[in-house]
Amino acid sequence: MQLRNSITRWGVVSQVLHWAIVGFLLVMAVLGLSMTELPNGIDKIKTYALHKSLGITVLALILLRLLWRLVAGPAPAAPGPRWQRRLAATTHAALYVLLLAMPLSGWAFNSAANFALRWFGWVNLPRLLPADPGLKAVFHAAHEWLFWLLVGVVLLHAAAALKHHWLDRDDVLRRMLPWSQTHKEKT
Amino acid sequence: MMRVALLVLLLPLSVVAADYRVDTTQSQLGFVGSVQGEAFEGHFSAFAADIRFDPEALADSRFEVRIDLGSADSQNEERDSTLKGEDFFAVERIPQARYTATRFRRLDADRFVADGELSLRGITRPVSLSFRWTPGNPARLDGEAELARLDFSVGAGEWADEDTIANAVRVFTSLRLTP
Repeated sequence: MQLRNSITRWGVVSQVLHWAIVGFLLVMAVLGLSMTELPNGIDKIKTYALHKSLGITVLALILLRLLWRLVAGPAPAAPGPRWQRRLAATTHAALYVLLLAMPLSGWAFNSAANFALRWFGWVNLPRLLPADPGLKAVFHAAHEWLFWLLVGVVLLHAAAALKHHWLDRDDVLRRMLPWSQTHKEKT
Repeated sequence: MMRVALLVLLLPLSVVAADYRVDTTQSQLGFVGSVQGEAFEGHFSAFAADIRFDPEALADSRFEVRIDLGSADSQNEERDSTLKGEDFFAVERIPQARYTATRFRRLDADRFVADGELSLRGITRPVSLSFRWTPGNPARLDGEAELARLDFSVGAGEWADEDTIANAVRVFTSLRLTP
């Protein structure tokens, strides 16, 4: 299996980044939605710290992914009607934008709330903003709304992939799956 | 003549330290703690201090400071409400902390140490405040003290985890004093 992306499939780097980010997002969503209800205590601080550390990790992975996309180029767009290709391109762009905006809005929220940001107990990261209750409220709301927007776009993205896989029976999903052969590879 | 000489001789012995009032608008009392390896600073906006001090009359000097713990502000709503809660300052039960010092040491020309006692959360422990004294009108006192929060059971129990919340807390003060 090749590192770089080819005409027929995504390479190892893109696949690993794609599925790692999917995994992180699931954990982040569960943590993010449940941690606010935790009783105040050291466990709450630690759960928030984990959420923040993972969020910074996702930010780094997204940046790596974009960098790799620049270096290696994306796999070619799947054939289809113009509106579908446009919708796909828009959805992909929205995913990248939201995946950057999610951690950044969380980081800004954390800074404005005047909390520390220590990545997995190793390094303290700088503040994006000064402590400010007004900005805190803005970025809290942004972090939440961006999340639900991201959920919507992810569902659209996944639905499109499954539509290609089950209805169109093409390689759009398969070329992102490490264990399955695309039609072109079989022939 | 004899009387004047006697008076001059006795004068140093009869020095009484001056009483000062704190100009609260230009004074501050704060603390620096550390959570998750990052320092944070808080201030008490409400405190009162009776300062009687004279570098030449340390035996007659005395500090008494009362701090309204409920006025703690570290520019973080969640942290401040936790800080005022039962596990930390227990503001509802014991709204004030009190620092009293009657013993003073001189370090050099303008630096001193007050060996006093801090009562916080119903626990009294010795705390030394080192400070610089700038005489005048107003006089200035700039000092700091280091204390261990767990000595006063501030954040005991599950909060005692020192990796998350450091035990050492630095207290700093800067007072503008008028006679």
